[in-house]
Amino acid sequence: MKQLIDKSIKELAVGLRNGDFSSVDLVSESIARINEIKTKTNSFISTVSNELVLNSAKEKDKNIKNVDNPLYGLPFTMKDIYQAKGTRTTSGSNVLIDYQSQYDSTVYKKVKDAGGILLGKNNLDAWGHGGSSENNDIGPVKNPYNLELSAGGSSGGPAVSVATRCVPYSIGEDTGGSIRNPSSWCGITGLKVTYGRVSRYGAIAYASSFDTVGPMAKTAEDCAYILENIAGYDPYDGNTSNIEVPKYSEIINNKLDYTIGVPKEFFVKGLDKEVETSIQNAVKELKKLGCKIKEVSFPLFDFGVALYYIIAPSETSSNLGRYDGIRYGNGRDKFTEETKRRILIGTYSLSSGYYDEYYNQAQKARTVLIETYNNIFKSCDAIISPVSPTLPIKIGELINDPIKNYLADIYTVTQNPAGVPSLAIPTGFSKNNLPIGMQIVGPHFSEDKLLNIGHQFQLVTKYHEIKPNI
Amino acid sequence: MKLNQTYKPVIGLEVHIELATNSKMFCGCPADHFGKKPNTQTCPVCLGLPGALPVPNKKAIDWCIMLGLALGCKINKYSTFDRKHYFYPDLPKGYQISQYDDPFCYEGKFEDIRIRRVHMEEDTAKLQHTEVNRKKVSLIDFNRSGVPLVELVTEPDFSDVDEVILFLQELQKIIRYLGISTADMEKGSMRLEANISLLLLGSEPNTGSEPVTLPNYKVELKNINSFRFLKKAMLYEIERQKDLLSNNKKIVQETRGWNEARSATVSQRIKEEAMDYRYFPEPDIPPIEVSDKDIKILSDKVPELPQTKRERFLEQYNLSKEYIEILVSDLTKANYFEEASKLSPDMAKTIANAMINQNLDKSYPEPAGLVKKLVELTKTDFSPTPEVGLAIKSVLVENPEVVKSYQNGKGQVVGFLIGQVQKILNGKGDPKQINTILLGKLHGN
Amino acid sequence: MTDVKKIAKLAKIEILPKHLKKFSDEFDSIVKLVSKIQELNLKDIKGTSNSTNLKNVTREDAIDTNRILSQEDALKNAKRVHNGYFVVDAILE
Repeated sequence: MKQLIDKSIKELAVGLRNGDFSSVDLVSESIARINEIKTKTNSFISTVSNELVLNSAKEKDKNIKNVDNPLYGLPFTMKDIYQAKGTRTTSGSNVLIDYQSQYDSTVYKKVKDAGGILLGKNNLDAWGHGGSSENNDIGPVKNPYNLELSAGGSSGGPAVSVATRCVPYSIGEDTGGSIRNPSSWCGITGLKVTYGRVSRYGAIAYASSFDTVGPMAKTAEDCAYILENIAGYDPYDGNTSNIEVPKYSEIINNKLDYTIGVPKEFFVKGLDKEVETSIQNAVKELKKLGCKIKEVSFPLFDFGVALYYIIAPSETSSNLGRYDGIRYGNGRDKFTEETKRRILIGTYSLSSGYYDEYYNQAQKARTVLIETYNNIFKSCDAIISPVSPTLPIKIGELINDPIKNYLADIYTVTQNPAGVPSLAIPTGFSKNNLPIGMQIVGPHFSEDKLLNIGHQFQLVTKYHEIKPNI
Repeated sequence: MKLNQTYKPVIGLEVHIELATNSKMFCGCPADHFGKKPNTQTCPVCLGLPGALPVPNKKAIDWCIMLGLALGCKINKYSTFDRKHYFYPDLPKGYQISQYDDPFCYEGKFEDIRIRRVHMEEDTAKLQHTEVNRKKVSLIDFNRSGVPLVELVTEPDFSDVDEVILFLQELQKIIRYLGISTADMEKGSMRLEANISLLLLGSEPNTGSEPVTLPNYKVELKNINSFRFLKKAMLYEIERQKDLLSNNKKIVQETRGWNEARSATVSQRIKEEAMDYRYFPEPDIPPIEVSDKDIKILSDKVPELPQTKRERFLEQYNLSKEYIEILVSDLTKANYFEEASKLSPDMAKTIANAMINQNLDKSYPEPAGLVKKLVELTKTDFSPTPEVGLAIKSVLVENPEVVKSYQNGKGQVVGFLIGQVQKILNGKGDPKQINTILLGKLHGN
Repeated sequence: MTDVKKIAKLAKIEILPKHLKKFSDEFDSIVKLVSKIQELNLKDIKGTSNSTNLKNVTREDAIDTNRILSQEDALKNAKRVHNGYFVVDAILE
């Protein structure tokens, strides 16, 4: 069934100003669609009242002709880790299930100021701890292409919201694949930015030196418009970059003239055959578009999971120390098992006697990892990688097997420690009609190039236009 | 009881100084929390709300480095903040942002005491123990949470209680000279902790041999808010430990406070094995690099310190040691004194006296005002001018040979003539006036 | 076999006795998985804790009225408050 929200952000912006439809039309469609979808998929934790949403839309309609910003008057959602006054921010956990936001996150403030209308907060893996949106106290987020399968995680809710056309875009969060994984499993586009490109102020922290705030939408072009609005220096986040925010929405129109590396270590056993084929076809497409393809090597590949699962739990064990139930929230007994596991591993890695062998050793490995990426990007502009080694898995399979769960992250855990950006785009479907995606990884602050590649790819392919039958 | 046992006290200090910045260490909340309504000066950062992030206060860092420089410390060119983890209701994040591996200042020396480190951290919230609905509770106020604290740690180089007190008093003066804190123990802007243990020197007293190893325990004295009580506590503690050791009893490693009513130190908290703080570098705050240029700028901001001022006052004004101490103890007073003395250098002693014994500086906000008043008060009744004129005339007439020798070039005889004039005037002549008129007459006016 | 109870105490995480065995087994297998990092020879390498090259990010010593919470907002989510204070059971000193 055709919807207004099938349109791109650019088309929606033009349509609003042409008077083809109104912001009220958009949010009304959004409200209805959310009501159809949310229970089936567990993709929402809370929604903003219809009254507030419609009033905001009416106000936008009055002003639309005076505002340039393409986000103005469009509905959106956020992963439920972003502080937004007037909403609960729960991180999907019973520890914060009744927490009322006391301030606005920078990203929310920016989107709100750009004219975005918040429709609701999405379900996730609590605290970012997971790759299947099953680790929460709400219910597993179901894949809209097959409700027995996981939507991916930890930004499962946002991915479903976009895939099912509840909203044109959502703000997700990526610490070790949490935007890229669900984007691939739901057939949408998601961008993990360079660490420090977008402010983390007001985003519930998982791993402080890995966490990134990023857009999830149907296309790279949509992501470009969103990124232009949310990127930039923030005095409230000491790790944000002063580097000017490029005009991404213009740069995506450049002709592709890049060298793209394909690391040989990535395409080995354990990678699903259909996934491999789909990505290899995508690479052929990039070659047709003018890119030079070359084989490269990524020697540290086997150590990524160990490195990530020492540092991320260490930082999260620290960040979750504030949840003592005194100033807000409920007791620490309310943490899920998986979260408790990560807190314990992190505490262990930082504890006296183990700090050197684990945390310190992992940070040293991180230095080498950063060097590895630097070296690779000396000879190519970007590299291609699978996002997930498998097609979307059955709900219950990963959450009950911690080791299998961690190993599933193998392709997405090296980018965050190195701080490099990565764009996940759809590359096709399996024979069972399940989405497949790949990621394009670049050096620091190469979002413009990645979005350029993604957009040009999406001009000659149609995978991003397909939506689930739900 | 062992005979001939000499115990030498081994004392180290840990001092926390609350900085008088406008804002807190990692956020823009007001740092001045004294007497404010509870939980009215907090924000997501200092309240430890989900998603909040710290950004360090530049002035606080500068002031920390200035204190380190004043104490002869080396300054780390590359410094980080670190997270120190423990759970306590007054610690909102479950960790304190402090410094561990790379503090701003290290390895200093002040008055023979080695300074191990001077670093930056944030203060905790304030706890109040009370009863609500007949239940014993603790009330928490986060206004103080996040206020900048400088922590200063000395090596255990003190072996004498008076030495400790003198050091702390001098440290307090230095802090106040730098203008970085009120360093007020009653208000809590300067907090003291003394670690005390005793070392057995050997059966022969006065061997003069220095201990090679430190004692294998230490007792921490904490929550003592005056120098007087600290001295009492240390003296008591030394005796208590001496008594236990010489009776072959083990000393429990613990925290003790001073109970004035009982005139004794009392146990507050037993220190079990050392806490595992799981320090790691604060990922939310990029490292701080301090250049030589930065150090020079901060070094230039360090004013003349108390000891240098003492020595200079002695040489320049020749005041008594007691007077000097009183002036030097208060930089405002010292500056006032110097400004006043500049206006009337030969009245320095008078000015000092007026300030110290009569507190006259309180009545005159401007030193010039005080000087004017003092000049008025010390003015003598000189002989009226006609009398002076007559006396001079008379002396000149009675001493023709002296006049002649003056006119022949013997200038120094003027002194004799002035003396004769003063004799006639009974010493009440204005020396300046006599000099002027006499010379005039000698030169034929 | 790691002392999971000791780590849990340090982390203020409760593990019920009936769950202890399962937790310990899972914990040990995770430790085994991440111990792989020790296969790398990283002797003279300095660790990186921040992937940016930022340094000296500080703020001026100014009061920021935009972020100060009212007492009401500060206390908004607390389960126990009294006369403007947060409340906990008495901490025995």
